Amino acid sequence: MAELSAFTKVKSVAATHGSTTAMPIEPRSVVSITAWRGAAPALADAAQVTFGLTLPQPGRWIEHNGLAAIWAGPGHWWLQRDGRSELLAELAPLAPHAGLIDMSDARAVLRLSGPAARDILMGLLPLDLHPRSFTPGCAASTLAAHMGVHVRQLDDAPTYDLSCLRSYAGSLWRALELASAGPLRLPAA
Amino acid sequence: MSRLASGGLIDRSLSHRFAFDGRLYNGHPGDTLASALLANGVRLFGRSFKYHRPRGVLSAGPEEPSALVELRGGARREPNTPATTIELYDGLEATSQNRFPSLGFDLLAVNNLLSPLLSAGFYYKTFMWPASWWEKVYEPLIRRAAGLGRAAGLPDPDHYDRAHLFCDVLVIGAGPAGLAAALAAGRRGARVVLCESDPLLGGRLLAETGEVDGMPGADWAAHAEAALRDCPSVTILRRTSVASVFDHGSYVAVQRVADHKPQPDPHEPRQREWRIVAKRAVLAAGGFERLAAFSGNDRPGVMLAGAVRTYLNRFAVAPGKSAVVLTGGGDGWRTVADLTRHGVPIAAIVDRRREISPEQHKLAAASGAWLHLGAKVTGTRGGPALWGVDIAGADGVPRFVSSDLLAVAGGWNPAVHLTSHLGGKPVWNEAACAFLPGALPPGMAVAGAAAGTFALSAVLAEGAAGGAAAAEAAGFSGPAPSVPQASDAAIAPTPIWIIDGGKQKAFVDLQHDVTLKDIALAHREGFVSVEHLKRYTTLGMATDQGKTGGVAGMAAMAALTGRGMAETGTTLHRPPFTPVAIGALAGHHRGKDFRPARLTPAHRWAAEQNASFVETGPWLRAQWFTQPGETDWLQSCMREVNAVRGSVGVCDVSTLGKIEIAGPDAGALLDFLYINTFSTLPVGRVRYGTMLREDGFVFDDGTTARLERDRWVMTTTTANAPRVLQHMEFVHQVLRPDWRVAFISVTDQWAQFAVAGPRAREVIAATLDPGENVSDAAFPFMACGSFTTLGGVTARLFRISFSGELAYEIGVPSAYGDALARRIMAAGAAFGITPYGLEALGTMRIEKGHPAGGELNGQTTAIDLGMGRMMATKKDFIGRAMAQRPALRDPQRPTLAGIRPLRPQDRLRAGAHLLAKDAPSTIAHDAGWVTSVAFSPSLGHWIGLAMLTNGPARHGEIVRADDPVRGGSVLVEVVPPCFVDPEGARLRG
Repeated sequence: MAELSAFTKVKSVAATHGSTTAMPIEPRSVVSITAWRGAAPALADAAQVTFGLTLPQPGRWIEHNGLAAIWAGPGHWWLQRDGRSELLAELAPLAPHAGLIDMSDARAVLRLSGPAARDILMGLLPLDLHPRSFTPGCAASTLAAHMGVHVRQLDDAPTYDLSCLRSYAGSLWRALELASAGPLRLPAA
Repeated sequence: MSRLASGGLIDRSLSHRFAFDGRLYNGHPGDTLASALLANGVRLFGRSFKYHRPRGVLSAGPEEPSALVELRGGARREPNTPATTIELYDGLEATSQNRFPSLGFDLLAVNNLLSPLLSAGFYYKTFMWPASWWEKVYEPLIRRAAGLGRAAGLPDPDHYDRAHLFCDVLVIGAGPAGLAAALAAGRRGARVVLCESDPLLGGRLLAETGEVDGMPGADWAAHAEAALRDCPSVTILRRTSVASVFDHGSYVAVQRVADHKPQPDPHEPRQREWRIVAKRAVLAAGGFERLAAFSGNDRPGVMLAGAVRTYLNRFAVAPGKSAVVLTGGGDGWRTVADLTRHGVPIAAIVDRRREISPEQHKLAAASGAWLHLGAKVTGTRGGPALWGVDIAGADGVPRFVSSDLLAVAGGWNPAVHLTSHLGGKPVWNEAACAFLPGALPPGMAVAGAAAGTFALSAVLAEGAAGGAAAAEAAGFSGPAPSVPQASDAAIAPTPIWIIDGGKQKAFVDLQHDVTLKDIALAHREGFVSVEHLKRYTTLGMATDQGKTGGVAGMAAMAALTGRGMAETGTTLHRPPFTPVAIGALAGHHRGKDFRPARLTPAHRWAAEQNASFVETGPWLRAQWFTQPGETDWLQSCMREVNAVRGSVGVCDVSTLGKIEIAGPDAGALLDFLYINTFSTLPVGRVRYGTMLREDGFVFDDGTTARLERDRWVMTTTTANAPRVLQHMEFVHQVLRPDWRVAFISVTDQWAQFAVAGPRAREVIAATLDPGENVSDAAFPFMACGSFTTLGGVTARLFRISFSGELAYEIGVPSAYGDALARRIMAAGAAFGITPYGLEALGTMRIEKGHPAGGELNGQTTAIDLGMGRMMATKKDFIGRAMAQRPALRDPQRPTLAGIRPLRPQDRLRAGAHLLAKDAPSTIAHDAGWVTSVAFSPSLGHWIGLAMLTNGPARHGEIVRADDPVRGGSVLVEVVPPCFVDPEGARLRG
């Protein structure tokens, strides 16, 4: 049965701004993982042993074999993979140490990539995305136009993934449109 | 024409045509509206606020109190815009304001003659009687007569942007100090943001003749700008004013992105609000020249001496044909020199000192001016323009000099404003004769004129040192910065505050028409503190915030009290530094973008069904679904209720809060949260629960289902979903961090629909994939389980009912929500399945007596709501102890009851108060209130829920529902709160 994009209200589901593009990344499998108190080391060991995944430090994310782990708060990570899969069941070996909850459909993800991406996000996020302070491998939880978002940088294009509550997908897209409509005319620095 | 033959930072090769009050003029790129009008010989710019006196241009910058105009027209009209800050563009249109019928002939100038009635605080005194006239007569008249420009009154057609910047060093102001600071910090590799409100970098360097590093100041500024562009870590924001300082190194600046154009380019914002976070800041905001208070000091043609130099040097405009220079000391002689160099005749030089230097004698001789030492100005003459100045010499003999320009050099006020935004009080410095920055905001340093340093060489050195120190503190060390060289000597500050003598008004606030007399009146009436003085006289409360005259007002009060400037002090400067358009603060958040909206996964489907949506918190929910021929929401709502009670309906309940709870201690957590026990609930079952706040009142209610041994899902009301999650986080993080339990909102994960009505089971069976068994035996009331639908998509099914009918809630991952809605509709087509909205949902819950928003209002207890027996006695739970307080167990408390009108045609209204049938309508007889009402299609009349004193004991009693606000009193019968199927046979069917 057909899935419906979280961005259905949006006229086009991909947009370009010069050579900068924005597109939804869906579907994907996402599981929220929260370590029991004191169990973070055991959880990290289990993730390492079972999935070869080193759970990232605060403000970081990593990927191994297509499975990404994104720091989301103290003792809290998102584990995710593109496409639909039985990720929750696969992660069962971690269950003795943490609470696992399927969030695959709870969040909508926009990928913004290209030379203007950083300038556009300057208008949206109260975050320092300068290469001196935010690089590929960095992740943060912040606000965009009154919506809670998680942001992570994928590469130096630069490419960013922005994730928000799925119900806010249309509003996030709109905020991105507004932030990118007027190119930020910073002097060539 | 007053344009000089050569010089200036204007582009003479291009001409801009513009209109002021409908008359066409020409100017050049690089002009401001003020300089272009002055170049065309225009002297009269507007009428003053209170007395409608003619006013011209006082200054050449954002401090301008007088030359305020309406810029542009139609929806883009901007009132009260200083002509001194408006960059000229081709096709600019501006009009003068606060005059009728014209600027030259203003009827309300009669106010000037009435001025004895219009002194400080006049409206508190003059219009006291009769009191009833205040709102209807006096206030409207005063408001019409006072005021400046008119707002556009139309929606702003442009948009405003917001962006964030982070840096190591923020440099505020790009004059000599700011440029030196930015260079010093930028060369060390620090991320520097340099904000300059002017379109050009250079500050006073553009207006003065001093040299830096052997070249004219303006040329050095251009070189410095080029050098800054070579620093990859420097960002220059021109046309950008730093408006406010906030905690932790946060600053707000407003960039006038497109104000210098007729209208913004496509997609270009008019202005952008920058939120800047800086590790360090160097305030290099310079200073503002003071207005001295003397008789007739507001006449068009009276101008600050530094502004005269700006017009001469930067704009190549002679602001007069024959000048008088009034100075307290050396600073005014720079104006004498520049006027002479540009060939502007000087009629007289009035120096307050009796002795001057040989160089100044030489300058006086060269200018050919009549030199008056130890003299003063006692008045000005003229109408819409100055034509002469009265002078009293040292000998006291009055003299008159013809002149159309009076340049006043009264000294400079350091621009300390931003240093006060976190509460730091400026401190009087006797040597500098100025208020200097007091306690600074953390991370901020001050350099140059803003710190009271006025000699160019010292300003440059201070800027370079400040920039280097700021970079150092932000972690960028390096060799000592090279200091740009200038060879001027410091000029001793010789302020002029007040010149006594003369019979005309002497203003200390040109924009609010505050005079020395008003200060004296405030003193006589006891408003002696500067903060009281400010509020009583409105000194410094206009849009210019008293940047030119304010300190003269303080000085006047200091003279009256004899307390001196240090003790008198100055008022505290508050944000913003210069006026900020509300649009710039709103940014994109206007109209439909005012705030983000949450849409359910089946929103598009609901829209196709002709839903009317209503905002509930951030959500848009279907309120009802209009069908052809329906003209009224109640019609639609009644049809939807009848469909549910008669056959089957479907309602999108995705917005209800859903919190998934995982872990072995989930049951313990639920027992602690809810008043009733959950840990004993078997897997595959659902239980209704109520939770209390710590203080024992009801917080929220809903159902919680046990899906697996260690996996539960809780529902909350839509409105309380975030607060319940917050409450749970508190309980877990603070009270019981040892519990192995995790939870997160899964509201967005699941698209959920209620399918309700006698045919609901058949619809659900047809919705699920073939082979699933939902018979009453296999899936009884309050069962839950996992099924598949839509060809293998996992569905969570709950047999719960809010409507009181046989009902289910079915949830699928949100991406499938739209498909599920369509599947349910197809499955129910044979039964005429009807989508129903929030109104029908609400009507049915009132018919069933379920408490919701009106009853869960934070003032009701579980006992009040008839849930007293749900409170477990053998376990602890949040709110248990406080719920035992005697007042909360008082049987006389208002308790949930139903009401029905005695006469079936009577309408009930929520909010009405209940009284004994014959009791008078006074609060002493108040017996409760109506919380929710609905027209019940099932019963054919209005019904209501109420909180009634001792309610359960009064079933059958007739009471009165009194609604004095909307009028009407209805006799109602107290009944049990459940109106439909009280035995619950239907939902168990």
